[in-house]
Amino acid sequence: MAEQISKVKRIEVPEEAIRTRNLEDVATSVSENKDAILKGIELLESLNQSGILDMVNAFVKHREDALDNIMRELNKPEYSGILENLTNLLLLLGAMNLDDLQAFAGRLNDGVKEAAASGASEKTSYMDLIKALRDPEINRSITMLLQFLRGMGKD
Amino acid sequence: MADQEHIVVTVNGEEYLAAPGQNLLDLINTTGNFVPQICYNASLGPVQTCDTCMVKADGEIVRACGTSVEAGMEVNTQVDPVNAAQQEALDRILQNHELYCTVCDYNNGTCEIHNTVAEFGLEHQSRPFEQKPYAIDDSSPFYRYDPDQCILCGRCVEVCQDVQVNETLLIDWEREQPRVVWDNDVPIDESSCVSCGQCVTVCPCNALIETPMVGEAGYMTNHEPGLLRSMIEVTKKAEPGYGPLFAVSDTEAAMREERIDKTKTVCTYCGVGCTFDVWTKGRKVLKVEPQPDSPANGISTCVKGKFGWDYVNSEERLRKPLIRKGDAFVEVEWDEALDYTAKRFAEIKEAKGADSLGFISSSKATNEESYSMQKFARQVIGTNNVDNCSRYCQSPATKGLFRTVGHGGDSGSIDDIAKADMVITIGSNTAESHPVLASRIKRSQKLLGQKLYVFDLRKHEMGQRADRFFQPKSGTDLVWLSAVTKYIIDKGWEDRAFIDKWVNDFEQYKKSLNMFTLDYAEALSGISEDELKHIAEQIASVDKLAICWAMGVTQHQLGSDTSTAISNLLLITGNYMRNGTGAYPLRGHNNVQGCSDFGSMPNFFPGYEKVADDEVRKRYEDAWGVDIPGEPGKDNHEMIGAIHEGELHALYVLGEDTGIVDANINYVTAAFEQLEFFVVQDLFLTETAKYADVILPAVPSLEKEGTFTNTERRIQRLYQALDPVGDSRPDWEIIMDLAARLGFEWCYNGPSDIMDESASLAPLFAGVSYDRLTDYNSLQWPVAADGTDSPLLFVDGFPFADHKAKLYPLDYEHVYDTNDEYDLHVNNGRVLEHFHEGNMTYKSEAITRKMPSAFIEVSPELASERGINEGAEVKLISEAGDVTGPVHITDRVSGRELYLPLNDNGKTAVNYLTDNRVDKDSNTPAFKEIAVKMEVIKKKGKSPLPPNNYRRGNPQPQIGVQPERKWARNDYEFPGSQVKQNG
Repeated sequence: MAEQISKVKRIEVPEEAIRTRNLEDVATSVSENKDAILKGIELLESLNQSGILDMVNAFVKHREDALDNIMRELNKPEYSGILENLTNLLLLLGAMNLDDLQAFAGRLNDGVKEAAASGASEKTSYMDLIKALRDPEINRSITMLLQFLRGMGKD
Repeated sequence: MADQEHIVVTVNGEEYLAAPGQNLLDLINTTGNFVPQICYNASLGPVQTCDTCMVKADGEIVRACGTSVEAGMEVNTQVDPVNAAQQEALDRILQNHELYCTVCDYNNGTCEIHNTVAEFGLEHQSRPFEQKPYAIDDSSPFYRYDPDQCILCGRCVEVCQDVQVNETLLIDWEREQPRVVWDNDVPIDESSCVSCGQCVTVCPCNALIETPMVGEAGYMTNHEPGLLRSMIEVTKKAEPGYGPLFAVSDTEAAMREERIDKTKTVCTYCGVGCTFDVWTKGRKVLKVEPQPDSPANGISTCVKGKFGWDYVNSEERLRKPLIRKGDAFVEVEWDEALDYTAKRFAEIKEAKGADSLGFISSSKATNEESYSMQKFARQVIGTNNVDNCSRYCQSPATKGLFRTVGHGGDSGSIDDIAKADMVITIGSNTAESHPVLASRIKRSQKLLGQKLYVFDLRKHEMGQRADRFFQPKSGTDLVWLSAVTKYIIDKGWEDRAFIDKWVNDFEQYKKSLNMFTLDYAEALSGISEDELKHIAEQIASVDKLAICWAMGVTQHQLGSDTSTAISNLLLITGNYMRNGTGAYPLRGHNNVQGCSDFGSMPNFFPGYEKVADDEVRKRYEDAWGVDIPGEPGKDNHEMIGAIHEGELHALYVLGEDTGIVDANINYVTAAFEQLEFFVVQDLFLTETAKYADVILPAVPSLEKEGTFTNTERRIQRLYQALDPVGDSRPDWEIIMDLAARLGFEWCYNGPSDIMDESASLAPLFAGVSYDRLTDYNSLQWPVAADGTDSPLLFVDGFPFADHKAKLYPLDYEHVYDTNDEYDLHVNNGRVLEHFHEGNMTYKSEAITRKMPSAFIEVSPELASERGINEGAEVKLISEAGDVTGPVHITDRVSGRELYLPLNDNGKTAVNYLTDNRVDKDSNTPAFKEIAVKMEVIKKKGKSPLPPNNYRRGNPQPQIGVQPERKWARNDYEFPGSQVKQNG
């Protein structure tokens, strides 16, 4: 004879037991991942010492505010140029032939070095310029610049 | 001749073979050439709205999807004007759709706009995105529409109009800014939308999205709307070219895979057997995504399968075993519960014999669990007292088919129903009970000229759509069916060749039809002689006839005989053994077919082999190492009777709220009170469980593996998507542990081991194995040892000694009617929104909002006669009991017929009214034969049907999305022509 009942008595698991079980789970996991945990602690320690941990912590807690501020700021007209330039710059980098540019830049550096070393403030006359063309180094530079101008002017 | 069946088409200079009339885009897609396409979808066919699939065919720029191939056609997909036209079309789409993928919930790798733009290599758009003057519609609790993101491809309209055929969505092409509208432009929630979710499934982007996905799918999508908006703006500024944008968003999409799981599962509601991927994040169900290769449903779903999964995470789930102690159930650990249960089973068996225990399996549980339960009863306990809930619904259909054609299952697949020239449904509210299957019929009728004849008491949706709708008097289907059969034979319209070759007992059967004259049938059924003749003519005139039936046939005292009459008619007219023909008893639950298939029946082992058959029994005795009684056991109904008679003392019920769903529940629950020991295994503390001594917490389909068998005899695998809640466990594991405690170590490592054992013992499933059922692969039984399955059930004749079917003579005696005192007939059945007793669907807040309670449908005539209005409260009293409920007045019912949805487990539960009358051949309760009287408690009140119920909407039928109306707009120019002009 069983009448219809609907009262349910739950097993009251004592908090202490839940705590113990949870701690056991954690301990097992720690023991299985000893190396990673130790490295993690080391990382945390460095982050903490440098103050970064506090900063990241605060940032995550206020992420909606932060994101809101950043987005509001980035949406201002003065930034739209930067954002577009950033991307355009990225695209420009992609378009440049870095191998050639590297050679060019190397020579540019040499030139800069030479210019910085000379320190002279004498004026250069028209004749000096003509004479200078005989100097093979200067002649090479001028020729290269002329080539550059030709390339740049291409239609 | 094979050459003539193909034509040669040149695509980009290479020759390809095509079928005559083949869709050009279809052909191009097989060649490896890329043509952008956004509105085209293999499941929908050409929609012709997006204009992106421009190609040059024989010199003209055309939409590939709107072009059929012709012999010798020269196609180019790459030349400049083609590319320019494609780009123009894509530009127009991007004018309508803002690409902020990284912060979009639809950025899951499947966005078709994203993928098409990326593959096309479009870097910039020439026109800026323009906002539209419409707000987001988030009125529906299931999905939301964002007009700003909508590209007006019209896939949603196509699927709603022509696949689901609910005819709610359309595009208003004529307004200045076209948009998708619901009905006559009302909020989604107030429309005729049935929330099947198919529009969301086919939407190529985030214009339509499931509400649970919003703010959940992405890592950066759950922000306040204002913040989200500024993030979208920044995203656009920082990523002016699409290349960088896609690089970032693709990375984010890949990261989502880390926390969103997509698991294939099989729907746990009706017998259609829809399969889909369920997306879960933790325990949250984000969405259900049906797949084009889902065998039974393709891209289709209904509201329950798509959105009805909240019960899985219900707070009411049982988490620990419970044992009755005094006036309360006390939570215990598994060991205690199982030890106690095993001990009590053993004691009762010892004291009162094995047959004093009974076992009821669940049509919601898996095939493997049905197998385990019957094995437990037969091997561990030693009794055949094992049954399942198909006893309440489909046993009569099975019986009728066994008598005539030898297999108790659908003759073909759902595809065959769709292919038939004519479909007859009898006693089936198909659109609400088997929504996805109904859609196939609705589509064939709407677009392919299929004739639909509906026989029902109630003018439900199928009745309203039918070419002809008939309302035979309750319980008289056998009469009109037999009269129509007789008339066909009298006229000589029977399929003589088929009968001679494949059918026995024709003469004897013909003689038995003598009593079923047209005037006799008219007098009893109320269908006129002329109508009966017309029905016969129509049936005889078509080549392919499929008959679908359900509870309106089976839940009568003559349920088996009526099912037999259906099969007789099909045999006479040669409507078996061919595609597009046959008998389709529409199975009600996800696994009502499989539960019986796998042996939870008192007279059958798995695969419908008789327990009384010595040879068969020996096979199982050898395998299981025990003696098994040769006498069939008791069915559900007999078990309840045996409790009352003091013969049955212990009952183990698995996943079945017997105390609500069995007929005459006052009688059933009185039996529970007398049990010496009662075990219930369920997800919830059901009405039945409240009588139990031990309650064992089981898990729903999403938390376990196994297989279900749908109405097509299709065995499909479900994979585990979630971990069990609390300490709950799969049924098979619980049963296996009980068996072990009673001395039988089964040692299954998983459900696949159970299936292997079953396949090794039951010839019907010889070739079934999990390896053949991976992902969306399925098998329709019988399955030969080599894995060959049977989409068409009867190919080489019928499973009798001479391979011939049998015509089965029938008699008729009118047994049920209303009378002077009990003057109203109560019909009962399903509604679309809820399922069975409502234990699952009422856990969904969204579904409950659409339909908060059961109600009593009253015809306008009867309402005015009794002076009651919408929302009145009435009490219905039958000889067995009474119910009270609110009234909904509707002309779906007529005259003195009432309709009561069966989805209530409170005071409106229909089974307080039903009695002990049963089908004489199968003991299925005659749920559909209830005469009542009505007492008015309150004359009017609040309508039980809320204003946002789809039944109150105004559908707008049309064919497809009607792109011609788009092309007719003044501001429309064909991208092909525009390119020509500009070029």
